Amino acid sequence: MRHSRSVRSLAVVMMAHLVALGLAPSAHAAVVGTEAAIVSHERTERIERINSVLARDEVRRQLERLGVNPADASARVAALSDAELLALEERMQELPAGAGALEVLGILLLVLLVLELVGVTDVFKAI
Amino acid sequence: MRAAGSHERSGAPVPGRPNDHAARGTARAAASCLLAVACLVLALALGACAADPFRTPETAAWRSPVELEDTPFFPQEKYQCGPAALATVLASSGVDVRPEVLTPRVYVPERGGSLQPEMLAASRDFGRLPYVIEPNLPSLLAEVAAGRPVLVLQNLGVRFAPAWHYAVVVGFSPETGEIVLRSGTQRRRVTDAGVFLRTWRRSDNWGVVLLAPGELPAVPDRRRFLGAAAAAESASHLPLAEAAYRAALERWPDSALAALGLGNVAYARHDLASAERWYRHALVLEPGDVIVLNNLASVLVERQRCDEAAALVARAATLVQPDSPLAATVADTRREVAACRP
Repeated sequence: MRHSRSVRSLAVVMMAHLVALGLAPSAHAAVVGTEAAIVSHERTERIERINSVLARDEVRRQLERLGVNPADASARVAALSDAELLALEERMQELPAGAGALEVLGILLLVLLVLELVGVTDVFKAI
Repeated sequence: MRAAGSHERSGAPVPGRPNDHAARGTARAAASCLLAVACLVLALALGACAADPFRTPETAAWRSPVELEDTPFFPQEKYQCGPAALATVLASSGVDVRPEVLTPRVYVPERGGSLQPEMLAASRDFGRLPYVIEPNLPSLLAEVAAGRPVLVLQNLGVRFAPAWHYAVVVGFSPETGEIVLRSGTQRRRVTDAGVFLRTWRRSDNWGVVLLAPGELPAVPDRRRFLGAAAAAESASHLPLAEAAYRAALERWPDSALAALGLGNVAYARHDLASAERWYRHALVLEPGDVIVLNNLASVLVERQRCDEAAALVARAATLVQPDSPLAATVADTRREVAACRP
């Protein structure tokens, strides 16, 4: 059973580019993958065994809910490392989604224009 | 304060102005007032003038401009800066793929953009090892100077109104204090370095280079590189992982983790003889490593070398922390050993 607090800490650890525990389930032998070894060596957080099969399924469903078609969603979760999987599972709603579009209310536009002029932001092309 | 900001070579629309005189006057007065207030607030927020990013001890060595002019350019479609930027770095590393091919792999419709973990995962699918560089300007400059454009995530807005954007750094100019990017629909977006750093800092200075199999980054950090290799292994990109671990072992011959990685890759290919050889190599480098002991014991069970497996797993059991999930794995291995018949 996963404890959400430690999994969340784990996700934070991963967003700092460390890797998380992802014990590869194996039908034949209990062999520890290298990502898991890296985390274990660092002893940064109390780590939990996760069932990566369940995690993959959960992320796949999240992607589908966010508009990704099912075939693509399956392929995409299969491409993720265990650490990336866990990062997405916990933070899919919060992670920055690089889009190149400005997400701002109209009334803030003037403030942003000023910020742009003094170099705090870099949104507009021709300023 | 020098006029900061970005400019581009080709024309771009400028925000429109009100048409009639009165409205213009009022708008101008309001704007100046707002500008004054904003400047005051910002002066307090920004503190003292930032030092020139190219004049710090870490960056002073870079004196000449660098620009990777041959870097391909894929102008982005609406929200597709992720696919466009990824296609750019893939193409410059020798993989020709159009952004449209990448969209179904990284674009998340309801989020209106692409997520970092998926950008990394997609690179591997095209045979390139994504390496997240150390989050600082010198590392970025080193990669560009080594001929590798860097995929970066910027927040072009502010925290409360973010404008997340992927772009590719293809050049820099220390004398003029500028960074050159392939960005959005701009083939050359030249940005003041200070402004660039502000937008980059908001993504915690996230930057990625794509490495060919076995290639090392310009500034190889052992932990980061092994992490990248391990991610490839975890995602079952075995040739990519193997090439990376071999390069790591050559660069850092005392790396038990690299040897462990090679053992794990061999194991994943059901090459038990090689797995055993690599685990033994790792054990020589780190005799007390629980994971190496565990994995070697596991493989020896499969090769019916029960006595040696028993000795190794017993040692692992004495060394493992009881509250670690490794304890469960070691327990599993013990059970396998108990069932081992030579």
